[in-house]
Amino acid sequence: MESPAGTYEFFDHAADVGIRCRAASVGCLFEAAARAMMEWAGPPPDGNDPVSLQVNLEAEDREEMLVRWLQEVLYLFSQRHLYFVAAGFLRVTDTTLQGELLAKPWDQSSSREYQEIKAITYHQLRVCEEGGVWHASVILDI
Amino acid sequence: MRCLYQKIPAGVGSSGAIPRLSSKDERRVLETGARWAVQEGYGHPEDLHYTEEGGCLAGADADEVSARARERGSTQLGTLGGGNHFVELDVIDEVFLPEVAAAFGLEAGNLAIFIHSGSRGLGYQVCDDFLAVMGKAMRKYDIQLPDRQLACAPLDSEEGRRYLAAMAGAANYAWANRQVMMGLAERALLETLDISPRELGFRLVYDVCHNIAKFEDHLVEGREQRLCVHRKGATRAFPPGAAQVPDAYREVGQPVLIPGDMGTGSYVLAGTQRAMEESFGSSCHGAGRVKSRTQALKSAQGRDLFLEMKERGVTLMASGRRTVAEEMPEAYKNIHLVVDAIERAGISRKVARLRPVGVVKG
Repeated sequence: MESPAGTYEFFDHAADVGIRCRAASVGCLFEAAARAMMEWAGPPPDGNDPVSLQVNLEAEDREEMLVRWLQEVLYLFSQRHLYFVAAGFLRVTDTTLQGELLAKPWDQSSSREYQEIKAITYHQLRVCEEGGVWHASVILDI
Repeated sequence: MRCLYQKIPAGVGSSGAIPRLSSKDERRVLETGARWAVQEGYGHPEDLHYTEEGGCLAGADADEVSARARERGSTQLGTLGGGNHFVELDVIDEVFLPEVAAAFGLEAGNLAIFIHSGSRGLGYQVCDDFLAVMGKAMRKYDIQLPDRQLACAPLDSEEGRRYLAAMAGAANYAWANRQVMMGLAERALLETLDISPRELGFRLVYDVCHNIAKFEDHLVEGREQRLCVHRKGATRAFPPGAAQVPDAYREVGQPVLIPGDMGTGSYVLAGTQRAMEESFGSSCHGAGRVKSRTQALKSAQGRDLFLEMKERGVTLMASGRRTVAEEMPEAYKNIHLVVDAIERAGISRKVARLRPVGVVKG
């Protein structure tokens, strides 16, 4: 699947689903992963202007950072009813993430369109750079 | 089914089954579990006799449950969620062990309600929070495992104790959640059928976890040892005589609840001594998938699964169309074969088969 922030695809994993993505930078890679997860959850809500949110996260390493980032996007979706649509400039190091994300509000009446994602797992988690291209794979607990 | 569907919110981020919990009630739910729900008027005091651990796992500490987990839990009590969670209205189709079925209160031709749900967003958040804690603990204690999702810490470490206190809180939330849903289901039936509680005869058969770690005594190489038994995708199946089995079931063993797919049926079994010897008193808790979610979605293209279910005699109420596709009957193994395998292995005995007539999905 093509994405302005990178490319992604889904893969089967037992009762769950995996995301594989690649991008030219780690920031774009994280955005692609978030777009992929939201595509699995359902289509973006119509109407409603997006809201902007600042994100500041800390983690022990880059792989944990991907999990923390996706956890944040998932929390906003399932608890705050905000559907991630894009990331502003994401500054990602091994242990910190700073940036802005845009998310569209959705209301409970459109919940038929959506699929519950329970959690982001560390199972077979991978974030790496090969030949100047960033790659990641992560499995979602459905 | 419509009334059940309206009373028990389902689907992504579902909320609002009952008023938002105050911070005082959040704490009481986490530390007293199903007892809180009964005190608030959901279900009946005797239900607690038929709930594992009386609906309250000791050792819960609400202070070990993060603010974000509590926030997620404050609006979701009494809600079903999505994925493989369901409320199923069944007819008791066949009884295999009449004396055991009678002890469980199951009679052929009667209706039963099967509820499958857990600690909702609160539990997912406790897991997220402690995976991060355990990641650090593994470095601290120099533990190396082949996959990061297998994060752990010694049970007697500070991290281990904190996790067990939070997990007990999440388990208590799950028991309270199901107790509230059961109370809402009873109200739905009373309203719809317009009969008295006595005429309805609604009572809990059993409420048991299938994703929990518990301290239990088991024989290991002939010697009784205190173990931490983690059942993940497995349910407890204790035998006749076990002290943890409710008095009314003590002679026949613990009810073992095994749901199948939404179009085929579910089973009630009874735990056995063999399960104590072979599987630390455990059994499987469901059919298990045979098709991945993407395979199921492909199979569902161009089909009206609601109509197909209706043709099978099942009224399906669901908040998410994709969830229905992913949870379609053929996505799961044949429950009859799974349960036969369990019985042949000797770890549970078939008591009754339930046939679905209505299903609520997230």
